[in-house]
Amino acid sequence: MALPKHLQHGLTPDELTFLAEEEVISIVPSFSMTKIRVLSGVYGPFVPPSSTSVPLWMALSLKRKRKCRIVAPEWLQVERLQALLKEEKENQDGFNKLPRRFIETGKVLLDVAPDDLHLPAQLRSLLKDLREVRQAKIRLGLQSEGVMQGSYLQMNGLTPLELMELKPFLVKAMGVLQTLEPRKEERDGYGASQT
Amino acid sequence: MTEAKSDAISSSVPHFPGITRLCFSPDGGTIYTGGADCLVRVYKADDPDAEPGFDDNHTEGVVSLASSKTHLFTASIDAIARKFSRPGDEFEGYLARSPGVPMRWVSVNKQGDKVAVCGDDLLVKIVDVDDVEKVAVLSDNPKSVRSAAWDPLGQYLVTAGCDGKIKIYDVGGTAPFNLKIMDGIISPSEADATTSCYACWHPSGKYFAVPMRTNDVGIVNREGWTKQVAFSQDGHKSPISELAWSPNGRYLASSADSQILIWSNETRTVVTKFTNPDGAVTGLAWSPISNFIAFTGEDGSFSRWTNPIPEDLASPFATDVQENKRVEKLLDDFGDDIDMDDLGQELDLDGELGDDGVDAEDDWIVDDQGDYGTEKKYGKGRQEVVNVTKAQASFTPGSTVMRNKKRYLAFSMIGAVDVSDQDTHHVVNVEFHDKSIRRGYHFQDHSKYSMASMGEQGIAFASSSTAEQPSEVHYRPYDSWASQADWTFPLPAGEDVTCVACGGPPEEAGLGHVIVSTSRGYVRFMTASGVQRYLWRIGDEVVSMAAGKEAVFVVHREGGTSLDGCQNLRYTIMDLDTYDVLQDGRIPLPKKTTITWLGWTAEGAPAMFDSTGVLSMLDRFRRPGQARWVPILDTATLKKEGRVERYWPVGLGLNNMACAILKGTEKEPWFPRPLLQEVLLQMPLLNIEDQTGKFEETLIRSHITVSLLGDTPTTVAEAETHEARLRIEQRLLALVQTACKSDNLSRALDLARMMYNPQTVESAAKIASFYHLGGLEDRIMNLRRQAKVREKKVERLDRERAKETERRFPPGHSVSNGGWAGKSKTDVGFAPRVAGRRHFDGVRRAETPMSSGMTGRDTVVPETPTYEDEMPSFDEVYGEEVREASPGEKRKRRDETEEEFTAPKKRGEESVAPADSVSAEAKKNPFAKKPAASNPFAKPAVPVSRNLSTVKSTSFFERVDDIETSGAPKSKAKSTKAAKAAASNGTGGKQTTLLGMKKSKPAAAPAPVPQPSHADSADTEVSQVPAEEAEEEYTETQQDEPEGEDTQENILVTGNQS
Repeated sequence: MALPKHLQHGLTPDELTFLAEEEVISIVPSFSMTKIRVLSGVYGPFVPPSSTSVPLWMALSLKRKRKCRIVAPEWLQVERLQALLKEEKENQDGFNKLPRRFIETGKVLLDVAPDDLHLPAQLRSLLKDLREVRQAKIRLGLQSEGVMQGSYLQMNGLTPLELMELKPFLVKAMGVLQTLEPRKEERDGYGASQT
Repeated sequence: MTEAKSDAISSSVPHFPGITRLCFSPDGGTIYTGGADCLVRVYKADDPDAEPGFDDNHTEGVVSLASSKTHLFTASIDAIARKFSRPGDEFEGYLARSPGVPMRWVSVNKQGDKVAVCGDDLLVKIVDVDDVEKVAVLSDNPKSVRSAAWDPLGQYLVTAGCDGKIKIYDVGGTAPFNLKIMDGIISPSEADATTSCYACWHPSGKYFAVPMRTNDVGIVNREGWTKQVAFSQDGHKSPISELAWSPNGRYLASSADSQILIWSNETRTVVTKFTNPDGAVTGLAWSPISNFIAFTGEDGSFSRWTNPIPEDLASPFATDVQENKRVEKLLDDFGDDIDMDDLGQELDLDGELGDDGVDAEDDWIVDDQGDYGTEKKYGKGRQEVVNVTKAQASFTPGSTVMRNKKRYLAFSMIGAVDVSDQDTHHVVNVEFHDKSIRRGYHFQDHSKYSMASMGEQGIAFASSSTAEQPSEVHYRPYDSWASQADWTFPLPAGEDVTCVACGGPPEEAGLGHVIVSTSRGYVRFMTASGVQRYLWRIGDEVVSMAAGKEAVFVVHREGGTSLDGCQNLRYTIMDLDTYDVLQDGRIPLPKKTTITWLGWTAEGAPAMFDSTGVLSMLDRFRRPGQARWVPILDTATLKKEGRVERYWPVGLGLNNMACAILKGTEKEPWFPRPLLQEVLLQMPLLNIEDQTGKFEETLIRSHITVSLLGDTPTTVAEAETHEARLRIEQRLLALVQTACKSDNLSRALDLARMMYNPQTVESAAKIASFYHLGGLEDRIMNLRRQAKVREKKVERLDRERAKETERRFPPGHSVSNGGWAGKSKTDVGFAPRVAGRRHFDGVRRAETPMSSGMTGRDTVVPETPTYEDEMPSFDEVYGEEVREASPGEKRKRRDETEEEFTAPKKRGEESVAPADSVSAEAKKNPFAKKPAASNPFAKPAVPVSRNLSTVKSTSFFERVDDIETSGAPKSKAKSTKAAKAAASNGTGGKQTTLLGMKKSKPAAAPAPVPQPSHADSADTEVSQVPAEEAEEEYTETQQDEPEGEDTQENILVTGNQS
């Protein structure tokens, strides 16, 4: 892989998006077709105007061909995101449970199907706000003591993308910190010889 | 929308430039203005030319004013809130002071006893007017509070802060407390901003309006404090400053910068607007008593706007009742009765007997509020009651009203037709859900079509007549092999299209139909190619129509609406090929409810949706006199807490309703075209939350489906009916299982009673035995016979119906009776029922005296005895179901099978044994059988059924003779019965039952054909034995029967007899 070494520990956002595209989303097709079988399962039948569930990649591909309208996921709505953002702000000690791949899904949907979303511009800014609030929390969390001692960092509720973002830095930093920390046995041994 | 005329507005400049505010006194007689020049001016509202009085107690600018009946309150930059007496305008003292920072806001509650004061000291003080020492302080604000608004009931106080938060306090109790903080609605602002920021309560107290940061006006409901964007369409472009409701809450005035908009609260659209040439508006108020607005500008100007609401719109101050009266007066102008005594009438309406008490008593008629209320009217010297129930206007299903020059003409499961108004013409845009089949198109429309209906073959458009052109009907097929396939019919002068419907099957399958109702009470029928086929003078006003594949569903009004708010609608279902009226009757709408949508269910039954959100369908609409409406979905039960949703139906699927879900106060879908959502159908049953309730609900719906499919005159329906029936039985079994599980035995028995198929009953018994419920098992087994009888009844009804259908749909239609077991229609020939047989039948069939009493009364002799041959095999149909239901049986049965294979001989010996009748049943596959039965040519190939029909066709006596001559099979049958009883009684253990059942399978193949028929005929004979013989036979039976619980009882009875 041509990636710089420090990035090779994790997945790139593109790869994560690729993974996110395996998730299922509902669409309203604008063509009729019987059930189809793909590797991940059987989808359909496609009978407009009723909705059906397909993997995100299929939805996006159909959308690009103008063959369907994507039904926005329940969380991708202004009111819902506002509530989530508020909760996220209020909950200072941890991360809220969010859809696992909300950043990736949100981004591809906003890029490919903004016309199927209600108030896409507002959604985009809300998603960005949400992400920034969480990033700020991560930064704060990194300053906590445990991290400085290279021992551990608690991060419940982080999504894979955020984790991958953090990983290259964190792995290296913690490694460095650990080398700076005197080894336990060394320290103990030193103490023992003293007495 | 109108622009205000400049002559309606008169201005003067009483103050220096700066923030200038105003308020009305509650009686509407006085207007107070305050400005940066430290003065408060006092104007008379009705006399613009009079010189205003003034108060000069302030040392700095006045930034807020409020008036109660007895006082005027002001807030000033000089850190003091003052109170003045009214109407003398005497300074009475300080209301509140702040430590040297400006006061920004005063507002008084409706009772006039408390004033909320806000200032830059971050406090909100609630001051008692009579005792200014009594102060409640709200001190939980990190930034200063810009405003506080009392709700009309005095319960809540809504503050808006500089930090962009709206806080709602409950001030009804002794100490105010914060109920809710709403963030992100209003934008943060500075305390000294020239734009105001306050909540404005609707006079009803149900909600308040707030200026949102998006430059829209939002509405916050008191129920749940939910927010919605309400007044946004064509709204303000700059931050909103002032808000004011009209006295009756019908209109909202809002200002932003120099623009004032007046919105209609009903339609949420701008009614009229005005741009103040003098600059930004900083104060705005409605007169409490008239159609009059006063506003002040940042330049210190004060303007009066008389009659801001145009005459032709509803009054901004009159109450609904008064408004109705006004409209009424305008409508029937009898001349001199217009100048009636408003006051007197108001007294009447309030139910008070005032000075004219005697009259009022005579004239009193129970009154009712709202749009539909009855209304009293004064004629010349006499009273008449006038009906003001608003008659519902005619509509085409799926259409919306014109808003912003756009509307949907039709929105259906096929697609949507929308128009946009281009002033000189319309542009019609047709889009389809399924773009792969049909391609959307658009065209210019100079006739300005106002109605459209999408059918399977094309779209019918219609327009109303105008001065220049007559009403016309236009049809466009989706695609056609012929040239010039579209056509247009102008209607004669004086005849207007009121509704249009387009129906028929898809192109290849038959004629397309266009149905047009007109203002002359005609309903015109045309084919898709424009051939006029029929003309019906319905006479009534057609409210709406929906055409299905074979029939049209017309809703019309019988005469007028009734006094109590009923719409008085009737429906007629008319066949489109024969023009037979299939059904007609009343539309069961509750009072004050209108019909909002018509359509057809996926199974082809008429359906409607009403304004209360109930979706109903017409059950058994093909049976004359049998139709009734059944609610299949109540959308009111779907609503989630704190969310305002409305369901706008578009079409119906097999088990769902496709609809647009509208949020907030939206009543109709708007552009872009919303996605359709599917809401599962659910009849509003009582215990719908729990599992049994859900099962019962699906059960009822499948029964409806079955009856509907059974009536459908197509061969396709037959298979579907059959499957649907099987599904029902499966569901019943599942219900029996849950009932057994929860030990609810009587319920389980009831459910078993509802089964039609004896085999299902048997498996129900097995379920009971699985749960070790011996008593229940016995009872269910006793029901078996009953089930057979019921099944016969269904068949008979089916047959009768088939005949009826045949009569109505002669040769061309392929008719099926939709029989349960797939009998062909030639299989008829019912002997008349003999009354004596009932009794006999009951006794004979009953294995126990107890059940004989139960079954004997209302059951009928099985007239066609070989039913068992026609039954689908239990194992084939229900095997999986039962296995699912009782996993233990699976194992048992496997054991049985093994046993059978090891000991085949034994079975041979028992060739007449109980298993045989079952074996005959078991080997027949219903799916294989059916086509044979429905195909008359295949018929002879089934010897059994021929045998049957010959037996049936013979007379009663013949058969008796038959039986008398052959005595042997009788006893055999007896032993069959006995063994069966033994098996079911459980003396032989459960294994025996299963053995009996299971054995049938392998036995099926080698068993010679005559064998089952022989067994059957034996059965038949038994059932035909006359009463005298039956007794003799009965005793015989008892002797044969082995010992068992039930048998013992029987023996007792036998003993009595002998």
